[in-house]
Amino acid sequence: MSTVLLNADGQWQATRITRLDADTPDPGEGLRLAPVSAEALQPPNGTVALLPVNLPVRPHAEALKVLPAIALAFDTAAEGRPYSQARQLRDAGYTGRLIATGVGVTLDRLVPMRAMGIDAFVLADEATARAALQRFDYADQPLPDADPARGYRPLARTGCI
Amino acid sequence: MYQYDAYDQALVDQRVAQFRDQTRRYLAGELPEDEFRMLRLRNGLYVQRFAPMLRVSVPYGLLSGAQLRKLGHIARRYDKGYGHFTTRQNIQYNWPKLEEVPDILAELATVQMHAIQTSGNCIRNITTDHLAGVARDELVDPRPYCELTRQWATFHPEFNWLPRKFKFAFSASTTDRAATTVHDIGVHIVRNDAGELGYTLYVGGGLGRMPMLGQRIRDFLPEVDLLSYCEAILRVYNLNGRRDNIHRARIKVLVKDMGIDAFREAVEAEWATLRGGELTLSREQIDWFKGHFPAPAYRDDAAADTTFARQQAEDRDFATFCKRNVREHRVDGYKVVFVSLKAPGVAPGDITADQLDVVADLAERYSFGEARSTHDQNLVLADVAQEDVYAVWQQLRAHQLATPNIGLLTDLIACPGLDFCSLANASSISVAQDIFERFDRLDYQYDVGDIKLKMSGCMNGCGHHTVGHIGILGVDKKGEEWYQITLGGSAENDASLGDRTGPSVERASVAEAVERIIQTYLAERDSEEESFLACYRRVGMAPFKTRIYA
Repeated sequence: MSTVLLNADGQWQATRITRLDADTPDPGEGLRLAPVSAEALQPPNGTVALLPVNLPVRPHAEALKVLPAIALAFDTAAEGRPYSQARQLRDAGYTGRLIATGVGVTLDRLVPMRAMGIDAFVLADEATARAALQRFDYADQPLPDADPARGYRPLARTGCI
Repeated sequence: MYQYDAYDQALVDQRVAQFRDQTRRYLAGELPEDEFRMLRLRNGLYVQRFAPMLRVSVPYGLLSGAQLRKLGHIARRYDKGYGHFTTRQNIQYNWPKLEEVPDILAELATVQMHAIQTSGNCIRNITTDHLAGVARDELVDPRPYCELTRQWATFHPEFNWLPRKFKFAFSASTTDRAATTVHDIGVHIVRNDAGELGYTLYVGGGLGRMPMLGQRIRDFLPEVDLLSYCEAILRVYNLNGRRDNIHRARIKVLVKDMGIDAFREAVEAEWATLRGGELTLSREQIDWFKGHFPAPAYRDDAAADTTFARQQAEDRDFATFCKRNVREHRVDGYKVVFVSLKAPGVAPGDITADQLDVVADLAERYSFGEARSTHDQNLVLADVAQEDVYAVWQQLRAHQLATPNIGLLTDLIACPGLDFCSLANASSISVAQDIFERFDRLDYQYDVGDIKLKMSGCMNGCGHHTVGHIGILGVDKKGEEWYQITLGGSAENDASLGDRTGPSVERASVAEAVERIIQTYLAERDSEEESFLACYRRVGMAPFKTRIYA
């Protein structure tokens, strides 16, 4: 399907997204997502590993860290596991690209995804991408300084979800 | 009480602006119904049987006079002139217009209130003992710990899409008045043998369709590690909790399925990656939060008062009020005054706009500007000089807020039931009224003594029926309302789940069944000192069952 891949730095491009399930032909172009498993964490050449939501990150962190990009599967509107997967990957030192994919990647959820270290988002269309950038700008407005005693907050909070 | 700084205020103001935009997009057809539903739920907005319902957060039940007055204004301006206090110390409005909800949220923000995370599958309002800071059996004031947990939980980007809702309760007293064992996480603030402050943590408690008591996951957690350990629990739950069945998605099911030992092992492994990190509290941080909850400037001469005793001797009604609705305070010369929201003819927990104003006035004049909501759906003025109790009582009585029934049969908990809730199978409020009418003689209630009757209109158990000494659950039978009865539940230190008496009874027979239960208790108790719960635990179900179904 034709969608837009938005990077957290504000760049976007129309990109064909294909999920390469067993019975899906490989179009050979666009962003091709290859589901991986605990037994086979390396995706085929030219594809991006699509991390199953039930795959534990910590036991496989070292193998995952070598991948240049990992796609996270927000496959339902209520799916919350990839937030924790992203956090665990970043905490483990993963420096590659984390791409949010699926129907759960909607305008009103992008800011917390970004807070978890996700830095690319597959969106429905260009209008959503433009709105997303406005949302990021809004969320990035500087807030008044909190009292230093509250510096325990490890993640930047925003009232903008 | 905790006062927002500019940072807190900016967060809440941002959220108001964003929800205003979401509502506009929804009403303009730009935001699909399903997507808006999840967003509005995170702002406490349900669509109920007849209208939207807005649940406003009251963190750990603490309210200022200005906040009470604003709640009254909202009831008057945007609703039908009243609000309803819930079993999670929140207040909800049953008749707001969807298009006006952003305005309500903006008004709330002017008094440092909001509706954030009062619904949805996220961390809900943090609750605690309504006697926090004034109880004689308290180790420390739990509210600073509640507040730092609230700040950690609010807008936590990782835990906004949990498998299901998630509830915390804190207790720091020898008597658990916060029902901690029926919460997803129950925190008991304790000292270890070395005299160090910390926490005993319980996990996996909850009511609803599968009621369970929480299990101890940590005997002692150091004071500085509260947030990192809770983060580990939430992450294990977020990653492993069931999402395929809404009725099996709470953490209690995960703990049950894994077993407490395996669950603990998973949490400890996750905690090992967090311990000592950014979530570790410093002494300075803890003290900063404690500094927001200073003890009021109690008068040194308050205990010298002699009028309190004299007024009770001279006024029998006042003496009765004091016996039931006034409790001892940790400071001599001060009293804790309960405001009963269980007057006959009124839905339990309901309060009018005018009554909210009255409580605000009393709080500001007599209780250092603050009031509390209780999980039993009443209010408390926690710091009243004993010489002022008589004046407070007179004002409360003049506004139908002084029913002397705290802890008695008619101080019952009831959810909104079929009258408002779209989930309910049966009425709660009208059955509560039947019980009020059946037991309208207070002298009889005084003879029965302390008893907790809790009623829910469906299996979701918002009325906590499972942990009522007497529990009543509304069920649907071929389109008709029937009621299951349980006995022997408790949410206090001796927590237990109630036992079903047998077949459900029809609506018209509920009050009669309760009376038969009470008659059985009065006949079976070994003395007037033996409570209903103690009697039931001693004699068992048999005599009650025989009498109910005779």
